[in-house]
Amino acid sequence: MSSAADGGVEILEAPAEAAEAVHQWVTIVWDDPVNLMSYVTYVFQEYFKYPLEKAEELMLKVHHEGKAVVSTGNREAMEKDVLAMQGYNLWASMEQM
Amino acid sequence: MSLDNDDIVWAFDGRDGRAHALAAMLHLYAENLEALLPTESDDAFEQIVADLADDPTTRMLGNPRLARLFPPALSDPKGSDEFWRDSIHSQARARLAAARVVVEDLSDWEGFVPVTLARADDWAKVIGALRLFWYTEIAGPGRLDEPTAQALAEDGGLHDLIDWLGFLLEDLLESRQTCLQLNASLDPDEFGEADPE
Repeated sequence: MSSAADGGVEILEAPAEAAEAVHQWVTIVWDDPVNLMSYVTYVFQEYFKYPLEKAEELMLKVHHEGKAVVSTGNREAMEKDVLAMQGYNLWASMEQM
Repeated sequence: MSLDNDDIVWAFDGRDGRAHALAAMLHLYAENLEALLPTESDDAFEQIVADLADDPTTRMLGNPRLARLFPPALSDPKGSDEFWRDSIHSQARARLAAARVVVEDLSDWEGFVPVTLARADDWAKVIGALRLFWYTEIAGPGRLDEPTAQALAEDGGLHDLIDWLGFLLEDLLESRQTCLQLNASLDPDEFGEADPE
């Protein structure tokens, strides 16, 4: 699409915004009866560098609600986060939003 | 000023056979993980070829202790299979590398084993992994599996072992956090019997 300005110079209008091409994914950590609450909090602080308050909030969400979304991003980034969480012995999975 | 990576943030009390017990557990853990890997090669290209030719998924799923360490990453079975196929080798190697850190520290010291800030994360991961590994013996590999009364009656010692590992992990995390907050390293001279071999 274009329009001519007064000087006859054709100005290209900004193209229509591209449709959302990147589908967001999330990493989920699930509750289990083995991993200690203090350890889960530590993992969220250590890997995601979340402040203590946020790490504890997520840990309590896992504990009370059975699961919590701990990160969001593209598929590749979430694969990395899931592998990291599993490397810390947490039960973690990923889903598309 | 903040702590250096070489600063000591915890001491594992390896006296009275505890170091030996931990080393023995690590040996069994490592043996199980090594079964997931193809024969190691010094040639990087050969290693890549060997990894690509080997699918460890069935071996992993056939070992309940290992299956608990590699939960399904996706809800659809095909996606999970692909994820396992692509990640088990690297995950197993990472776990073995962390275990080697603990084994090295255990073999370097008698009595109290000092753990530095840099190595505390590996110790935490390994102790956590051992808890899961042995918990599976009395509970099963499912996420929410818990020991039955019969399993506890038959193997109460294993339950005590898992409790002990839990105590170690909490002690490590608490000590590390205290050292970070106080910006102070632990003093090996205060460990009592710490003595480099």
